[in-house]
Amino acid sequence: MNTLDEEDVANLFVADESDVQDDAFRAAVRRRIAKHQFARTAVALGVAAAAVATMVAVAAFFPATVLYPVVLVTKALSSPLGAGTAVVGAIGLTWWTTLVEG
Amino acid sequence: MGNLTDAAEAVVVALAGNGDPGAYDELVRRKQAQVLRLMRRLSNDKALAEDLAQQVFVEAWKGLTKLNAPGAFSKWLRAICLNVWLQHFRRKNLLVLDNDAADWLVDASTYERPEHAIDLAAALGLLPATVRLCVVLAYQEGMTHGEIADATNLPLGTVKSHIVRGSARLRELMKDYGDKS
Repeated sequence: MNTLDEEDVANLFVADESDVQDDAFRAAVRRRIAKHQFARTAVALGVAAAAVATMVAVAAFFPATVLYPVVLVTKALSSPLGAGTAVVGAIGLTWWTTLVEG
Repeated sequence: MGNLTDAAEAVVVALAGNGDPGAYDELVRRKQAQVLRLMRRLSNDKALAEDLAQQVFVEAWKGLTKLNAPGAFSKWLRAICLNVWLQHFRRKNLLVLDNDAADWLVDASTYERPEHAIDLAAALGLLPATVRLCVVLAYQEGMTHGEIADATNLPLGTVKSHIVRGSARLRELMKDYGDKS
């Protein structure tokens, strides 16, 4: 009767190792990854389509909502402070792009 | 990118992390045997092991961009192997956490015919899942008791006990194997 000690058990794990290169396994992994990529793209496209559809629906059924930012800007610019800020900002931008970048 | 067969692992990992499909294919080629062997020994079911091993590589592909140290890829991949295996077995309620020896001692008379020598895979299959897990991680992966406890969330004392009794059980089950091999 053979008696195995601790070292024998450890050696059994090493001896039992056989490295097999399996092309079918790699192909299966590639297929799974491709499926995952397809699902991820489909979800991203679905989210984008839903966002666009929502914006179109809001513009169609609540046009005032779309115009609200334009109304806000017009209101701001029609005040003396708003107009002054816009003029200073335009001068500053011109200075920066001309003198700094040029 | 040219032939990656001779490239250092960290280089291949970095390329794969940047989305190079050829580089990831090379990583799978290099690691598939190791992952399959670990999963087979843990799962005691060849088909299940292959399925879990494939899941491991999909999870690794998904998380590769978050790996900051390409040099730690092997250890990181092993952690994924354990997570995938533990998740599967927890989902199926297959993890025996009871440390009571009476629950898992296999009747030796099951193997009355020593000429049909039991090999390592069969012997491992006779151990409860958590004992097998600890024994495989200790003997095959060379992990310390502390590392096994951290990786599996088992108490350190339980890990030590599983390894001692698991290896003793393997020695008992395989005592005739050396004569026949």
